[in-house]
Amino acid sequence: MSLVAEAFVTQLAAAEPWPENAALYQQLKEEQILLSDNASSLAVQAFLQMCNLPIRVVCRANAEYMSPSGKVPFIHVGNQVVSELGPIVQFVKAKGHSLSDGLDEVQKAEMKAYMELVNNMLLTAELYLQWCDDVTVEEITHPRYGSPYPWPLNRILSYQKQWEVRRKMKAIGWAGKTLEQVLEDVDQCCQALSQRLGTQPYFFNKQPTELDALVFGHLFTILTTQLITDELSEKVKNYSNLTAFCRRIEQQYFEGHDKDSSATVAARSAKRSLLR
Amino acid sequence: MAAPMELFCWAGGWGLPSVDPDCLAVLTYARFTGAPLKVHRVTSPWSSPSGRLPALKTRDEGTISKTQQIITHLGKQRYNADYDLSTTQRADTLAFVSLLEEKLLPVLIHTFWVDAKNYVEHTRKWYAETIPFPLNFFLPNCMHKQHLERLQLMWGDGYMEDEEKLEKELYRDARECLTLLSQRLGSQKFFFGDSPASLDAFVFSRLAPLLKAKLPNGKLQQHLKSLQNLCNYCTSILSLYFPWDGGESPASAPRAVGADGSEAEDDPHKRRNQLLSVLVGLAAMLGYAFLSGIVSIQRGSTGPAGHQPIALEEEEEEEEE
Repeated sequence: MSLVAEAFVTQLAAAEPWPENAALYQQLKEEQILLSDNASSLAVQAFLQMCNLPIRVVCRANAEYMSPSGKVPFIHVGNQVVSELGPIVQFVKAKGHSLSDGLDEVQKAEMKAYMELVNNMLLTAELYLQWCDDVTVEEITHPRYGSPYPWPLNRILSYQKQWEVRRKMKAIGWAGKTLEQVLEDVDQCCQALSQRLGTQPYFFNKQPTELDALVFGHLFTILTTQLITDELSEKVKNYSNLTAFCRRIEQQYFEGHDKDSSATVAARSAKRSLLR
Repeated sequence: MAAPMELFCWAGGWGLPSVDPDCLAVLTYARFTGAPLKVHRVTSPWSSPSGRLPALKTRDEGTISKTQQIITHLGKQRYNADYDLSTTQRADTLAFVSLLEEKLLPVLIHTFWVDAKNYVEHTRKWYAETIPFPLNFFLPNCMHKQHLERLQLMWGDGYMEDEEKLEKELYRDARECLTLLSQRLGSQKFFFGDSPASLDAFVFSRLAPLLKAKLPNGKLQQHLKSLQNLCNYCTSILSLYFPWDGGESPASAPRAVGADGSEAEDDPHKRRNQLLSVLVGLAAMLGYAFLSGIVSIQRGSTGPAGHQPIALEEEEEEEEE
C-alpha cells in the first residue's frame, strides 16, 4: 500500500470503534493446528483480553492462506485484516487501546528486547522441534498439518512447508543444531524470562503488557501440549515463577471471562488429541 | 606452554580493525577481556582453517566458526566479560542481543550488501580491491547472493520486491531499534556501568561499520549519526581498545606500510605478468607465422640449408614482383 493509502486507512481505523463481531482466524483447533501457531494465536487472544476487546475465534483449515502475511493468527476487524502480534498491537493502538503507555522509554526498550528474545529463541525452537526433529515430524506434524486435505495433497503440503522451514533454519544457522542444543537455548531463554519476572505479578510490575501476552501464549502452549517427550515442558516447569505466571493469567483473563474460552479448550484438547 | 589461540578474521578498513560485524564482535570481546589471541587479518575466507570467517583455532577443540560459540569458548577459558553481571543484567544481555539480531542486523546486511547503490559503489569495490586475484572476481558476488538469499528467507518475498514497504516497515524498525539502544545506554559509559560486557561487544560491532563506512545511500547512517550518545560510545571504544587500528591517521600509517608491502608483492607479479604477456605474444606471432606458411622449417636438411628456402622464396617473390 502506498504511504497515502496507509495513512488514510490508519485514520479510518482510528475513527471506527472496535466492533462486536471482530474475529480471529486460526487453523482447526482439534486436528490441525501446530504448537507454534497455537502459541502465536493464544498470545494474540491474551493481548486482546487484556485490552478488554471482545473477539471470537474462528477456525478455518485454510487460515494460513487467508492471512495477508502467510502467518497465523490474523484478525478481521471491520473491513481490515491484520496478521501477527506486532502489527495487531499497532492496529489496536491506533484505535486508542494500549497496554504499554505507562512505561517509560527504558522500559519500552526492554519490553521490545524481551519480545524479540521470545520470538528469536522460543518461537524458533518450537519451529525446530516441529519441523526439523524427525520423530516429531513423522508422528505429529505431518499427520496434523495436512489433516483437512485428501491424499496426496496432505503429504505434498506438509513436505512443502517442511522444506520451507528447513531452508529458513539453515539461513539463520539453526540447521546445524542438535535437539539438545535447542533445548539448552530454550532453557537459557526461560532462565532470562524468569530472572526478569522475579517475584512480580507481571513483567512490568502491576499492569500486564504485550510482553506478558506473548510470554503467556508461548509458555502456556508449551506446558499444555503433549509431544513425543516431555523435555520441552520440563524446561519450562523448572522455573516455578513462570508456571505461576501462566496460571495467574489463565485464571484472570480466560477462566474468569468465559468458560469455553480458547485457552481452557485448547488445554483440554491438546492433552487429548496430541497424544499418539 | 601451548600455543595461544589463533583468530582469523577479515582485514580492517574504513577506520575499523575489521569490516565484518561478526569478526569485529569477536575482536572487541577479546580486547575487552584481554584474551591472548594471535590475530590473523586475512583477506579471503579460504585462508581460514574452517573456510569461514571469523574462525578461532583453539588448542584442544579444533576450529570454532560461529560468533556466539567463539565468545562462549573464550568465556569458558576464564576470559569472561560478563563475570560481574547480575542475573537480571545477563537476562537483559540475551534480550538485547536478540533485538539486535532480529531488527538491526538484517537491515544492516541489506544496507551494505543488497541496496544497489551501496553495494556497487562501496562494498563490492572494497572487497574486490582487498581480496587477492583470482577470487576477487567472483567472491564478492557470491557473498552478495548468499546475503540476499538469507534476507529473502527471513523476510519473505513480499518485502524484497516492494521497495517502499521495505523502507517503511523494516528500516523504520531498525531506526526504532537504534533509538531504543540510545535510550537504554543513556549517558553511561557502557551498557552495564563502567566496565564493558559482551553486549557492548555486540552493539559496537553492529554500529561501528554503519558509523564509519562512507555509504552513498545512508539513511540509516544519518539516523545513527543523529544519536549523539551512540556515536560517542563507538568512538570511545575505538580509541580505548583499538588505538592503533581505529582513527584515520594511525590507520594510514600501517596502511602505507601495508601498501608498500603489497606493492613489493605485486612487483614480482607485475614483472612476471609482463614477461608472460610478452612470451604469449611472441608465441602467438610465431604460431600464426608457421600455420599460415610465411615461415616454414624443412626437415631433413641442415640448419643453414633450412634458411635457404626462405631466402629463395623471398627472392622469388621479389622477382615476381
